[in-house]
Amino acid sequence: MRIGVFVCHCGNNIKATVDVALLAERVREGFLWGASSVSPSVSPSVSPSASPSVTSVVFSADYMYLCAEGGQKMITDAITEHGLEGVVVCACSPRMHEATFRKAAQRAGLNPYKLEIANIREQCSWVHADKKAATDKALSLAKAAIAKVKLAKPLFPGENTVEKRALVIGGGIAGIQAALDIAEAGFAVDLVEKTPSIGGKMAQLDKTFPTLDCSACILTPKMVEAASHENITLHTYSEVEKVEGFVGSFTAVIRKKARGVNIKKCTGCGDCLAACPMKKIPNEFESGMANRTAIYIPFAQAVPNVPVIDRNHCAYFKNGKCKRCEGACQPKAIDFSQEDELIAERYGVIVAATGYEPIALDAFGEYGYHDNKDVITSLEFERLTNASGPTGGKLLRPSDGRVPKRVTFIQCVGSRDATARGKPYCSKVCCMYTAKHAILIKEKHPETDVEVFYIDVRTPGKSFEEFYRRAVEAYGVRYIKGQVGKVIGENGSLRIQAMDMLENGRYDSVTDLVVLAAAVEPSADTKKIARMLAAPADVNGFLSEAHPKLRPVESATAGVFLCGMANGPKDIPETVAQASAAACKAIGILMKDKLVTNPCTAKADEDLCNGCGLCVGVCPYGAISSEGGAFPRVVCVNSALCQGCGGCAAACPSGAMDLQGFSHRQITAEVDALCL
Amino acid sequence: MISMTNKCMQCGRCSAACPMATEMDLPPHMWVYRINNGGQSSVQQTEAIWQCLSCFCCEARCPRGVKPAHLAEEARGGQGKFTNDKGKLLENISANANDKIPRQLLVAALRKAGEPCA
Amino acid sequence: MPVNIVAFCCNWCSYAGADLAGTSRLAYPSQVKIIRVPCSCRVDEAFVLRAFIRGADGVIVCGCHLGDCHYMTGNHHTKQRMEALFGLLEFMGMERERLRLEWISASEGAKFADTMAGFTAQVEKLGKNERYAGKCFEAADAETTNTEATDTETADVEAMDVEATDAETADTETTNTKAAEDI
Repeated sequence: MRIGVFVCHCGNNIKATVDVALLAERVREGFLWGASSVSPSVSPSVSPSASPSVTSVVFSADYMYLCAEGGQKMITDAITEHGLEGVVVCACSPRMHEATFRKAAQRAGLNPYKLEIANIREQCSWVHADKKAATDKALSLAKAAIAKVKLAKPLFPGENTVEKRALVIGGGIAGIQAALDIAEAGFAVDLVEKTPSIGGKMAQLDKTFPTLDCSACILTPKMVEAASHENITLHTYSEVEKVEGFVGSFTAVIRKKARGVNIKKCTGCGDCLAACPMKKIPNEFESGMANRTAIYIPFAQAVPNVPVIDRNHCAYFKNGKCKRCEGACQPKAIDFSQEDELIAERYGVIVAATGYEPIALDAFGEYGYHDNKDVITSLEFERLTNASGPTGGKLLRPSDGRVPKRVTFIQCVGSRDATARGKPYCSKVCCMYTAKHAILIKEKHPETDVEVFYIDVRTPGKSFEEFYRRAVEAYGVRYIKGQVGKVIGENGSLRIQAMDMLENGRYDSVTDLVVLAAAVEPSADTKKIARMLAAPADVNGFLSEAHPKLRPVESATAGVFLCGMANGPKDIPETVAQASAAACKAIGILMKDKLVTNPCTAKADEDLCNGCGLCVGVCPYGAISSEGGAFPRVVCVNSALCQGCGGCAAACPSGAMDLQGFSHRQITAEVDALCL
Repeated sequence: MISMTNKCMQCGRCSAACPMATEMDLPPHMWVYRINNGGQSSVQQTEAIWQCLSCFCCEARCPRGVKPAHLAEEARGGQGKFTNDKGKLLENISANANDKIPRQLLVAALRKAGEPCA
Repeated sequence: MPVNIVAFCCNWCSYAGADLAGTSRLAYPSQVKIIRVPCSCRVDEAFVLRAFIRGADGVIVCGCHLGDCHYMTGNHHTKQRMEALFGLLEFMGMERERLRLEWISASEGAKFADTMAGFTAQVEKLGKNERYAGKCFEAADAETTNTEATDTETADVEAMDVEATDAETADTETTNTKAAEDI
């Protein structure tokens, strides 16, 4: 086998510590296992190899910048001129330029996987000062790469077709935006939402910072657009049950829960709601601040505007009689016999937009959230101040319906909390929505005193700081640096025991309404979805991006994209931007007819496999199975599913499983070369 | 013990929760601040460390896991005679209980022998 | 003679961590030589043992932090495998300190350099690995005709031994033809 070795100077980056000329000279010495110990007699010249089966370095050279055009040309020329069958490039990290050099090799007609990199910059010249030691190590690394490339087999990437359909999980603003963008590009989209209506948390909000746009006014047109878009299929009141497959060809099973109402017949008149005798069920959309009936439409602008029967509370489903809604319904849309429906569909890509929840406040007993009606969360306050909310937008205390004389906001309830009861991260949106709430109160009731207890006010966003300062300067909202230690209900008011850190003294006040900025956490189902999609999540349960800076909307699992709060705390503009970015990435895949797969996958030798099945258990992708093979129990690898971790190859006791591109023999040869 | 003071972000929840903070010449968050900035000796000079009831409210409220009550106890212990090792603590008390030991220190030590209240 | 250390680094975390140590110019001993593997779970126990019999004085296996594996669960398998291997090394009479398992993320360049410096010092304290270096290797040479080996990995390794040592001898032609066939 004729091998060529190219040594890069990288300007002075490598040349300063590694003797590149000597390196280029010495790689030609001897054979594979090092000149010193095996054979001092081999000629170091450019030599036509004696026999085609003998491996030798027939060409070596050093160059100033191999990654530059001239350097790449040198490699391609040498491949053609000297008939090289393997190439080793001693340069920077393969994470940097492996793709560059492999492409160059391919241009010269060499299989790209017959080229290996010896990392003599990041892992040699930059970390070692002594020139001799660095040169020795560089030689060692080069020999390991030569040993590896010698055993390299030409690999050819496979192809798989792309199903031109996208699945978007979560129908909040993130999911809606992603679905709309993909649909606009001309691809079919299925939008799956767990609750009876799309809209998500944004539908609950009153105004949005820092412009004070009405949230519903900007969201509802998008909801309607999503519902009426010819390329979008809405699956509300539905959940993804199972996801299998891989990029380009996922199969998802969606459970459409029984609504009890025929969507096609229903006109959304609401007569059934009036007829329902069960009227005291806490309304989820109103954050429990109002009641709803057992058959209900989540909110006035719901999409689809079709009621759903809550089977846990419906008198008919509980006691077997009632059916009053059925009698009230003129179009005869009520259908008590409806059952859950399972649909399986194939998708090319999946966008996860599963959103968030505020944390439960059970562990924060000192704020008395469960003891006092007038201690509420920010999401509840959104409903309280919303024109479509339980009070019609009037700011009234939940306990006695009075307008509060003083409202106290407490920031960082559970955020920036490193203990078990909180979350270590900053929830990012609380500072801004609290400023918004304060302004909304002051606009309606200028006489009401508003105080905000904060640790830091964080306003990094366009027009955010100005908005916060407006709350302070124009509206006279009092910001107190410090935290509240206790909220005590007393004679219909609330006594606050707090610290004013700048005054360095205790600050006690009596207030009428306390609003807690509860930390956000990924929605409850995120974990389940993450497991289904094989998408990694971080320690806090947020779905992880493939790279925090350079691949911010991709999951490490190919074909799965992330957007919105499911990925981490963020506000609406960021969510929308991320959703569009995720859609764009998804479209990038959907546009292709075929995807090229990584050829460095595991491969089982059918003759050696003894059918023990250890590899099946090790594979995190379910890529290995013994079904469909030529022999019973003998495994085969689905190369489209295999991501090439090599766990199976190390687990295989009979040596049947091997990882292409990182084979047993290649790694063993590298070990040998490094140890001599 | 000292090293965890750098987790403090001066939110003041400890002092806000402290039943004695209004009486103190130096409230709990300031012990943490001073100790973190090398002022251990000045904390030992305060009245506040003797006013601390060792109710551990500050520690239960702290979002960062800082332990102001433990710091006060360490300051009271002075030379570190009373560590937070439970067994050792009781042993030390029986051996050292005499008029010279302030009652506050004994109460604190006995409380520490049980689980800190939330 | 300085000690020789082989480091297996997973492509996504530790190898990137080593690159970061490079870009940050954080020096560590030059005897540490890195082999890139896609995931730490690719590291077969045989590779580690091979390194020891070939004369490596220390072997360090580095992967992503538990829970951060690019392949989700790979490093858990590594952990299990290496724990078993520690036991085997002790059984063989080799100091378990010659092998180390370490989790180093792509952002922990400093940790990479420190770990490598620390591990090298630790291995230097133990001295050269003389107990096994070359021993099994000679034995393997002597038994190249051993057809009893049911473990094909071993057979494979032996085939390579032949190739390595006899490469320049008269047997070159046949051995390499055999190797070429394997390829």
